[in-house]
Amino acid sequence: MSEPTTNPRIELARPMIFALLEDARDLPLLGIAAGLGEVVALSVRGTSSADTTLLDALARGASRAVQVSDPIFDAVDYLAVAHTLACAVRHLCVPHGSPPVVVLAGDRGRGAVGPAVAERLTLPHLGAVYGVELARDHLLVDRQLGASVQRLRGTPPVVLACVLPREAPAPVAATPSVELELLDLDALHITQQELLHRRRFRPEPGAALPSAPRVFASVDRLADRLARDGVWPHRKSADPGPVRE
Amino acid sequence: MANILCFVEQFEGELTPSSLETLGQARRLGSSLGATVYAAVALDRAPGYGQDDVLAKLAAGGADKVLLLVGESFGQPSSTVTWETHGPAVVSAWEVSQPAIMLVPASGCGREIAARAAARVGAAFLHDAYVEVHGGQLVLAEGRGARARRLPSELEFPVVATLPPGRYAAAAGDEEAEVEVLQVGAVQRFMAEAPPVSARAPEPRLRTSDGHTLVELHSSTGLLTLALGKTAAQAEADFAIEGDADALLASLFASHDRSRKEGAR
Repeated sequence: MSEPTTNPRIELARPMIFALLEDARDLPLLGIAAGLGEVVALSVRGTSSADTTLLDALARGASRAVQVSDPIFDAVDYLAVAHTLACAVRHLCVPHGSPPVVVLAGDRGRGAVGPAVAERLTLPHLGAVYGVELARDHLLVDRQLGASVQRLRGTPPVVLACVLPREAPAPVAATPSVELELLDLDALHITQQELLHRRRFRPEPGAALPSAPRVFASVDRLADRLARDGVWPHRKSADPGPVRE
Repeated sequence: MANILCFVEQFEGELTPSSLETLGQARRLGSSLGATVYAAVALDRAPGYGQDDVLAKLAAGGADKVLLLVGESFGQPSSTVTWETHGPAVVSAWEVSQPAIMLVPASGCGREIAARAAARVGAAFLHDAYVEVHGGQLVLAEGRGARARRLPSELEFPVVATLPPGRYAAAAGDEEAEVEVLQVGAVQRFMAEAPPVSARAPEPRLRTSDGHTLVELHSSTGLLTLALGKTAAQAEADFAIEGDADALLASLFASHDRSRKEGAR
């Protein structure tokens, strides 16, 4: 996202918005994308997984829904997925010239795909994003930092990894008026061989390691600890009480 | 194993507890596996004579070598940490240390840089990770319960892992560390800070597991899970507080609200 030079006569062209949907838990991205521009819901799928996430996205306001399918996605890691998504974003932008692009990804769980897509597209990225607004000549981005919200402004292109609200926007259409678009690796000029080596980088299901929480003797003591990490509201250092860790 | 790189961060001029815990685990791994532990920290200027508090803490915390990533832009408040500001420094530290494993505290800063660093170098990535040695074997895992995943213990590629606050203990020692200064060039700032919006910390959220209340603290590390009282649900939690659950819950919300008001002043 480039720092803008405010010029009242310049209006930002409507950006092309990509919402990267891993599964239905990412549908709230459409609420964040609302009002920014044409939203393309984009997903990669292995053949073993069939779900209705992209159709749900169309019903909830996405203008297009594009799925890249190949069996290999059942077996590869975040970086192979991100590489494919980045190629898909480039591919879908071609007919539109070079539109300003905003890529929205979910910042939950591992949260690796968004930053990796940014890396493959050589774009800046921001994490912990709560909301995005399109102003006259720039974007306003709110991101969580500890206990507060930082507002940044800039212009696309940018990848935003978003903290998802609990609820997805309500469906606006019972039956989507457009159909799901399917892409394969050939269309993106990717070969399976390019992705295959990422199989061994993918963590596989395995026995969980025993886990015990760090125990604190009081709420204040825990709050003090989290405040020193910068992840909880700042507090004046009242005596936090005895610790048992 | 060759090297372990630990990226540590400061908050309000102090090394964060999460960073020291992450470094402590790096130390334990390094001692078990015969690896050299690098601690990388970003500063706006190299410490002068008598200002080596950070270096002493990193050495005591387990670092064999300290990489001081020095750049003027790091004098900005920690709230502006992004890949644009700190990415080049992280890449410099990686190039110098050539680590097999990079450990990053799962803080706001960690979330900004860890996954992107992994993508930059083509490493495997583990979030909410367990990085331990059992029976002489390296164990690389992430997640809990049914969501647990593991990487092969024979490392044939680099791994970047984020460690959640509280999972491991900090180390305490009195060793000394070698120090190397890496100058980081001027950083192009891609974003401008706009006038702040009103501070609004997300409220703690409640969920239940087998009838026990768990609190989800929505911090910039992602979700931290807190167990109230001694319950079977502790296995799902990052932190626990002992005592009566209802009283603790009331205290927690009161503490959050009080702290938020203090922070906003």
